[in-house]
Amino acid sequence: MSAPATSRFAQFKLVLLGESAVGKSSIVHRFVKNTFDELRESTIGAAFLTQTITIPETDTTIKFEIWDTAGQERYKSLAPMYYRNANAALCVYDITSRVSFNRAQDWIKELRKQAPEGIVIALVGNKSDLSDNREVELSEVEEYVEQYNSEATGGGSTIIIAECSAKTGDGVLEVFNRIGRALPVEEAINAAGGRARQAGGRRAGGVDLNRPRAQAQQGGSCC
Amino acid sequence: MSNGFRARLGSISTIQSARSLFPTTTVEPTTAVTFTNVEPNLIGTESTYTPSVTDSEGFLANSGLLTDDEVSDYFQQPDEDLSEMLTDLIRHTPEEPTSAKQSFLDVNIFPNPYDLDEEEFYKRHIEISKEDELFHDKLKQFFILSNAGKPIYSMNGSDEIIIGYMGVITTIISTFEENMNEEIYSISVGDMKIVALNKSPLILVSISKIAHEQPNVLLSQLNMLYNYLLSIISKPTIDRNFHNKLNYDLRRILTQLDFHNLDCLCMKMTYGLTSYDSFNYYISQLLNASLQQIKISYTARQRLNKILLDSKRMRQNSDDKETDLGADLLFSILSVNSKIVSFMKPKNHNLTNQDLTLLFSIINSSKSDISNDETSEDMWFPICMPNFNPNGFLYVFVKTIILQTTPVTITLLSSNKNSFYQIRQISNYIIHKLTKPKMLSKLTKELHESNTLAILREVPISHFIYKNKALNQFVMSDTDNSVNSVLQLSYFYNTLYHTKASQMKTIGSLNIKKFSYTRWTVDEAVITGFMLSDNNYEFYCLCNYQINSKELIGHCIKVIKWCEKNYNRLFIGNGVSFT
Repeated sequence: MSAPATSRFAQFKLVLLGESAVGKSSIVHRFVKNTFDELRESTIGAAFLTQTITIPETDTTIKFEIWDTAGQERYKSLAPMYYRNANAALCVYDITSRVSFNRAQDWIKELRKQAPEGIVIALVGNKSDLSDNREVELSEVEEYVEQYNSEATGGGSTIIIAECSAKTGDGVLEVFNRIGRALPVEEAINAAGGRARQAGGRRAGGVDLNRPRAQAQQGGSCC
Repeated sequence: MSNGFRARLGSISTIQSARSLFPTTTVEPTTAVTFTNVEPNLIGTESTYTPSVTDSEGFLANSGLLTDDEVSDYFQQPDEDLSEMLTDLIRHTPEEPTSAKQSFLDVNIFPNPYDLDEEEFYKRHIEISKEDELFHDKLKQFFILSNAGKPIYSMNGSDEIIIGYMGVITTIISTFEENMNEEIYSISVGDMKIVALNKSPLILVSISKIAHEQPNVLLSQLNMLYNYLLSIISKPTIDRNFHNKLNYDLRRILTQLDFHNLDCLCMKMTYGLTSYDSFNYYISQLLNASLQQIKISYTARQRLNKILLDSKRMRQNSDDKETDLGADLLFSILSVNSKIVSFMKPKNHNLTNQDLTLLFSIINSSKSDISNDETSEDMWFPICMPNFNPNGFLYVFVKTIILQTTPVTITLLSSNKNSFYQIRQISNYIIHKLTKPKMLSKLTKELHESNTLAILREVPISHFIYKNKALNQFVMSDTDNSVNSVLQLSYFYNTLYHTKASQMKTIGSLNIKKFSYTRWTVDEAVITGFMLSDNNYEFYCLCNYQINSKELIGHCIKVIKWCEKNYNRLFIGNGVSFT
């Protein structure tokens, strides 16, 4: 496929969830473009972006297909489409807003009910540069996760906890690296290998459309 | 903020630019019809309203200076003889085009009771402010409220100041409804016009102190705001929420972006400000929801249309099943700065121009940062197109790619909310085709050239609009988007548009020609505005100095002929349809 033959390649779908204005889009843009826009308008519906990271220890390239969703209530009906096939979810809250932390917990509940089993969840507190106005302490987040994991029956995967600042860039890449390490890379590579052979036989039927080659990768690792 | 404003306050550079191309004007012998001796028998135009002319001595609008007979004679002659036809009717002094950079305040578009300078005036009377301090100074107000009097949106002011008005508004409207069994529409108090639109459970109100804004214009503005709400929430959702609870607060489902978008719409509709496409939007609304066009060669357009049609027919084989990727795709649009280059639609359906402009407003509002790399994001969001189906949503895929320096936006509308990945493949195919070397170089060259209309180099006309009536599409020369230019141009065109046109007696022809002529004198500067229309087109132009009528009409005819000749390049027509 498109990755060099020597390194291993896997593709995952990741969705960002959380209350409006916690900084989901800012985190994504810091991760994807390394930019920050103080006056960013809120997202309409959802935005789809991709970014690749490398995990040096395992010589693996991971491509994230990212759904940056709007936090507003009225787009909620679209949410299942984003997390239905998601491999990872970033539930974002704003460390200066308790309400947003509660909302992030609601999303985690929703994911456990609706999302595929084995989804990697990260509970991320954004705006760590504003710690003077902090309303959510890291210790209580840990407490919440501990309690949640003990209640979850046979869930297996635990929730990743992190804080970051999309504004300064602190901790943003680390979040995605930690998610990358938690993802089932081996399974994905095996599955994609099988799929790649299949994809070779795939051709546009009927009309010759010169479809771009990258298309063969579509749907990579989802199950 | 104030620095930014200063930068935006330029002169009318579009108007100034003609000067450098035509440094000298030919001095014609004059029959000296001056403003002071305009006789009633020189009928040309008649205003449908009275602009405020109180403060500026030199200011004079609506001067009709051509007679019916003379102009109609003129048009019955073969075009080659045009220049011979008309004697000079307009005083033509041997003056240079104006060099002074006039301010929109000099044109006396708005009353300026405190004698403020441009920046102060803008801040005090025009700019949206949610502070209460300047609330009463604003020239324009929009309110959206519920039947129960709950405020939903106000262009200016905070809840505290507007809440009292909400009570008054609901009382007046319900009194009319109950006692007279009819809907109140508009009230005029002195210079102030109040227009209400009752779309139960919502009420929309506009208050304008701007002389050139007529009640029918205000009403269409209110409809636009209402359509925005429909487009994001849809009619059934609004009705359902209010049905359950009369006291429902619609703000709960509106977002910051919505309030921002409503603010932008209010400024666009009223002043043609403040983003790059606002003036185009203003003109589009002025010309009855006409759609602005971009010049591109016929073959290039055909090729783009073919790409869109081909992409609709894309199929994919997987697991021995053939999927029709475009099954849910309804409309495909390729656009450059909100101007449609290529359009595909189902054979029996279409999107109205209102819906399209609304769609572009919403797409632009999200202003995803466009960059050259491949990581620019794909947007996917629901939208209700009120004139297409007010009860349901379509799902919009938007991606902007940069071809060399020109941003080309791909907008695909699907009927299925889960079709993102299929639609994305269609988009990838379109991008793949657009970026093929041959297509890319041809397209970028043409789009680059489309910014300047060649004909403007040949005539001393500063700015023009040509509208094809049958298509309801228009082309317009490029505009600099400074506050000063936009306020002046929108005022000039508004006046020209609403000035009552004279009809020319054309014997034995069903093609009725109409014209109107307006001149503004501002200090030493003279702006000439001219409108000419027949069954097929409307043509408006501005000239930044006194020009004699013979010359002016000659130039106008030249531009009109150029537009007619370039029909296939200038107009998209109905786009392409699939069956």
